[in-house]
Amino acid sequence: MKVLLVEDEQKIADFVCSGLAARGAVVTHCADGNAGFEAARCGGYDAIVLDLMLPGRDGLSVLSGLRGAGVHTPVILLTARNELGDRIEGLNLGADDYMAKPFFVEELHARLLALRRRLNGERQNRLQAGGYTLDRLSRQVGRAGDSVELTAREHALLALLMRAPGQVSTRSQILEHVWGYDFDPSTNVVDVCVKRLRAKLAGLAGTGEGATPLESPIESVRGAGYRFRAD
Amino acid sequence: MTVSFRTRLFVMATLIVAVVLTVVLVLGWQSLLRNEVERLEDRLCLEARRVATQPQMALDPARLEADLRLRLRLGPADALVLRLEPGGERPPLLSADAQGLDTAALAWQPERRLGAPPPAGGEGPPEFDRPPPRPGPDERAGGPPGQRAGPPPPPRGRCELAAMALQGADGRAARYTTPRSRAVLAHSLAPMKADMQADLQRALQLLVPLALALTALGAWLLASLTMRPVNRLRTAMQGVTRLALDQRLASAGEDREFKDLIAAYNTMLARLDASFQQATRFSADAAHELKTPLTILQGRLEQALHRSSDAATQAGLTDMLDEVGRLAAITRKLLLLSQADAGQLALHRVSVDLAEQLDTLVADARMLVTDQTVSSSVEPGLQTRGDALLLRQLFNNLLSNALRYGRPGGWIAVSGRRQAAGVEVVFANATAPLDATQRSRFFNRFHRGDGAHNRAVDGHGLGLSLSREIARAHGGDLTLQASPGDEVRLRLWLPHGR
Repeated sequence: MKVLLVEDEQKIADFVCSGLAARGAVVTHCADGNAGFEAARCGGYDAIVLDLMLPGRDGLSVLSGLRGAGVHTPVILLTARNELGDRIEGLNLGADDYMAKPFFVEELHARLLALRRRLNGERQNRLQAGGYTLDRLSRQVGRAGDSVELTAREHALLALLMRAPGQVSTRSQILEHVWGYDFDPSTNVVDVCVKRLRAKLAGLAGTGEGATPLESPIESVRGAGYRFRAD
Repeated sequence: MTVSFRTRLFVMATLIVAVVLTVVLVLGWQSLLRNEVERLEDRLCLEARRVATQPQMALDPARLEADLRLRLRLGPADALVLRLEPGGERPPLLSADAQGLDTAALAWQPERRLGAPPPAGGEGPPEFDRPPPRPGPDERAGGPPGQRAGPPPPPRGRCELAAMALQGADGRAARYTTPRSRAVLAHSLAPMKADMQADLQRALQLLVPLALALTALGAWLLASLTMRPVNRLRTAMQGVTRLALDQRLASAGEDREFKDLIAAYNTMLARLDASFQQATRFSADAAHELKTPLTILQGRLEQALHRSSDAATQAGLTDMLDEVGRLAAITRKLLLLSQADAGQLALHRVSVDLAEQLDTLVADARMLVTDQTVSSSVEPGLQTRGDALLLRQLFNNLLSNALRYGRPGGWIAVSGRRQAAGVEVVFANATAPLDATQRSRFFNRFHRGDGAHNRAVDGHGLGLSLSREIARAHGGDLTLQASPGDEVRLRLWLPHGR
């Protein structure tokens, strides 16, 4: 996947570039609005990650310029300042998604993938990891012929974790992705949901009777994150 | 109780006029009375002179008295004192009311206004206060002297006046003294006063109500006139809200006092606007400045976490990531609040399926509670137009509030229904008893109730305050409803957005 990153803050650009590169994307970086606009207009990118506060030409102007010039490459906006207003304006101007700073590269990557899937009209209906199969249409998780139905939240959570086995998802990531909260809900809803999901997975055939959380396919990374066992 | 300025002006003007009218009436009455008394004294003097100087043989006491009553405009019942000392040997002629009166004992004052010269030498009581000298023989012969020797000039005499009491009322007495005779005339002031009072009463019955009515009308008109620029100013001020602090009131065409007032108000508005702009810009800038390092911090931590394979390091990094997340959440809420305060909370209005949002929320609540019961009655298909993200945050705040203040073994009830002009959502929960002070602080920023039993619930005390701002930005409101002390009921109302 070829991604154009338009971001003036060098340090942010650094970790986004290396993070996306580590996940298999090819990233080109532009540090100001004019250069970004020119690069984007020349085309050849699968997606554009566009910061709003840019020297030279600000993000919204770049976006409207691109859409006006007939460039329909998917755009994810990065917003920091006056985020609600910019988000709305950005979406109205033809942005496909937006992320509020601070954000996780993991989440950004997931969204880029989702954008591409949406664009290609494809949908991953089955996820497989660690011997478990998640059916995204029936919201059922199965193992060794046995299956159990999940609630909407449980399903979304498990899908997030199974999409990248071995990778830690933090609470904030999970909240944003599963609950659609880009804010702190002041509750331990994530932990409670993981607990229930574990209980359901533990009830499936092929999982040892009375499996402890330590043996669960969903691992706690002590403190704040979870990941799906890679093996 | 507040009294309107117009009413106060009206009452004050009426009172002032009433007081002035009273003072004028009292003074006027006194001066009128004095005038009347003086005229009466003049008349008494004239009549006394006439009596004292008229031919003696014509004296018939009854006729004389009747004649005097007529001239002095006295009724037959009014007191009239007449004492004529014709001089010579003749006995004094007394009217009925003069019997037993010692007129010589009165404090006589010379009368000056009629031009009668003061007695030469000005010696005290005139000689006629002593037993009168015998009159000359020619006078005793009878017949007016004037008939014999042509009309003689009236003998020069002098008039004196005195105050006296007659029949329990004030009276005036005049004494005219000629070298030959002396007449004392006196009568009560009562009839005259009664006449004047009657006249005055007739005048007052018309005058006082008329004056008061005119005053009231004038005061009312004046007050209206005074209030007109004030009202204009008030209307203009009401148009200036926090959303339009850059408006200025026009002072063209106003009076000088109001121009000053408008200038002062405009100055205040300008200062307010400046500080408001500054505060808004500051929080926006601050949020931006905070977010860049937060983003870098979080990105680097995530990167490190991604690369690390050591469990202990990962635990430490996720702890840090969590703190960064908390910091970011507070920054975000503060920014939202500052935008709401500035009236700039931008909404991305879409059609929101409230029923679905509430259902998933209730499912979360069921997942989160330990020993509380969660009930929900939401009309299926409940919809509104609003900002989905902000409404989600609002509902989450209400839920986390219910969890925070929830009492072990208590209940949480969520209801949502359609109303005529909007949508009503009520979050109620059992709580430890709350007093009025705690309730009044519910929407205070950074306020956290003591009732936070649930360790799983964390917060900054910004949630409800922000929720209310979100509701208001949607044109609705979030209110704490009256309820029993061990119950919290938060009612959200959202109008059917257009």
